[in-house]
Amino acid sequence: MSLVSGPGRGAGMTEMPAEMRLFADKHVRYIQSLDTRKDELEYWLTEHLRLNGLYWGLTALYLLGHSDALSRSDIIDFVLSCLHDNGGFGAAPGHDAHMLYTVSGVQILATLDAFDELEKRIPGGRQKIGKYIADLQDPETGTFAGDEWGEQDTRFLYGALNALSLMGLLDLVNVDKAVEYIQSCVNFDGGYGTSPGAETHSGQVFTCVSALAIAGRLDLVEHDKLGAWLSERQLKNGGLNGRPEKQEDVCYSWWVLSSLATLKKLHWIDGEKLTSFILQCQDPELGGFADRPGDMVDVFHTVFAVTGLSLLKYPNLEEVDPV
Amino acid sequence: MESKETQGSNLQKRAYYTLNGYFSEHEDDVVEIEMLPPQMKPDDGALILHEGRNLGIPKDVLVMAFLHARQLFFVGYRDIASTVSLNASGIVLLSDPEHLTAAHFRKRRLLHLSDTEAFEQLLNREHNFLNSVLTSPLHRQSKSPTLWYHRLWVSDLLLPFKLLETSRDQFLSFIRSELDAVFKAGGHHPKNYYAWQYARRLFVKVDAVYQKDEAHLWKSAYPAFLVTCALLVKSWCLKHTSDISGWMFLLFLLPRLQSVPRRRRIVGEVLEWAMKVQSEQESLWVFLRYALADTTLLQDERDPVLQQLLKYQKEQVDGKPSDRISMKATAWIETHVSPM
Repeated sequence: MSLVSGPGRGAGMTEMPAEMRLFADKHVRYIQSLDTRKDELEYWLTEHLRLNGLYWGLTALYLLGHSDALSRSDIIDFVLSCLHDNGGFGAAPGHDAHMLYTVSGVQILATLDAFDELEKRIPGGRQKIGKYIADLQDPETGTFAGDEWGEQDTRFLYGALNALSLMGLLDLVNVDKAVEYIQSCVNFDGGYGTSPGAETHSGQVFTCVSALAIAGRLDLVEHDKLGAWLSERQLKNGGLNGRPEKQEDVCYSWWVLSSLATLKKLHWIDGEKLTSFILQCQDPELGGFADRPGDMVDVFHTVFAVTGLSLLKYPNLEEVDPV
Repeated sequence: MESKETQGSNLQKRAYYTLNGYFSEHEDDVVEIEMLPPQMKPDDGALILHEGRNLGIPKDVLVMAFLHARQLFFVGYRDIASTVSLNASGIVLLSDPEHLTAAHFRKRRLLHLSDTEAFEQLLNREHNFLNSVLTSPLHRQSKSPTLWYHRLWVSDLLLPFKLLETSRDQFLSFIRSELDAVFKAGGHHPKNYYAWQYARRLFVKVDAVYQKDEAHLWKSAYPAFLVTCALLVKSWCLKHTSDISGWMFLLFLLPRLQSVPRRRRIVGEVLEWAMKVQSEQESLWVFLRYALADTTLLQDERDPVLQQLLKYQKEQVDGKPSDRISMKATAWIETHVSPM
């Protein structure tokens, strides 16, 4: 999973077929084709997120019921080639380690149920990765840095709790302190930003709510206030945006929707309209989803469109955990 | 007869060295970079268009330069003193601003040279480079989380130099120029989350220095400086009324103004403007609803402004969209007012 975007485009309003179909086979083929475009310039320009792209593609394939569409051993080889001695993963071989890629690495290994293979090839590998993540926690504030250079962001906090819980290593970190930190990030609108006092953003709402879910502390969320803010994200065309007056974007079908699902408020938005919007973002010829109808497709928007559809219980999709 | 591959790779090298040459000439400047549309090809075989501090690059030339830069960067990046890798990393980041490894190389290199006499100059050059990329009309680059954090990291190292005051205004005018950079980047990329996040983080740092015991010339001017910033942000928001990030930054700044009447005047002016133009701008009303529902912000001065809003509502009878949005805001305030 190397190339991330193009070359197809979303269907757009004027080309809709009579029934709202999900072109699952096309999407599977689209994802499979991504690694074969090494000669395209886009391949090199997206090297900085190669491992993320692999995770997005793999997850989409699993949800579409085609978990065997990519070579398992090739994937594991690639993932392990991104692993540094310090237990962190880089975006691609030779790239610096960082929380974001480490989370994708762990998620891929978990999806493939490949931790045994990891241990075989790198004895103590799981613990090493756990330690890399745990060492990034700020013992004073409870939040997490992305790497040794110190940028702190609730995205990294969520990533840490997600990866550690997948590996059964949550006890390596101070979860209570992390929860305290999230509490300090609550804004007046009930939402969350990257750090205390930061603007509420749907992406950060997802990370904070999901982190609280992992920690078993959803009781700390201002359910109604936040639910209301999230439901305000739905626009007339059925799509969801990330903040007031931003354009609709299919990836918010995940960030916003999963937050609502975790808060058991999925019914606070119009699911049918959203489903219809998501389906309009697909390229019915070449597969893949774009951020909105008519734009260029990419694997990032593809996975989040499919996860959104899964949350909305679109038929023939595997169930996704909103956290 | 050159193979297609060789031709391609020569073109990449040419593109790289042309761009690199321009940046090397201007390392002490902030340059304004534009991507040229395909119709605007520079003539007589030139790859880029430039005049003084203005640079225009065709998109395919940048990609060519990137492909060569990328190779050069990875070949040399274990050599921390390498200027070749430094130059290459600059072009990598210009094309691919989320390239963490390139950004981190630059950090490592600066730290490696932190004991040298040239350190302050190197920091200033890094700051120029970031300013050039972040405040140019480059849609993707001006919002890059990687580059904005890199800027924070650089500013952190620069602040001690700015605090060695040769004049009373030196430190605060640096902070002001950082805010101006955020305005510019916010203009190029609306709702620029990471630019405004940079501003928040910077002001938090400045606040921390202010709270420390050390005496500084600028401390007496700081409260007035905050007011000036708040007024500038308010003006910016009224020119970019759909920009939620700007409004939320104003909301962040207001509690830092010591004078509650001053806060009330600013919120009041926003409300008066909204009433005058019968604004339907969601972001503006989101600002107002939080400013008025959070009783800690305006405290005793809150009620007059709230009454103004309610009066405005009562006078609206036509059921226009602007009425609906103000009614929604009022309802939200009534539901969520806190603390009581």
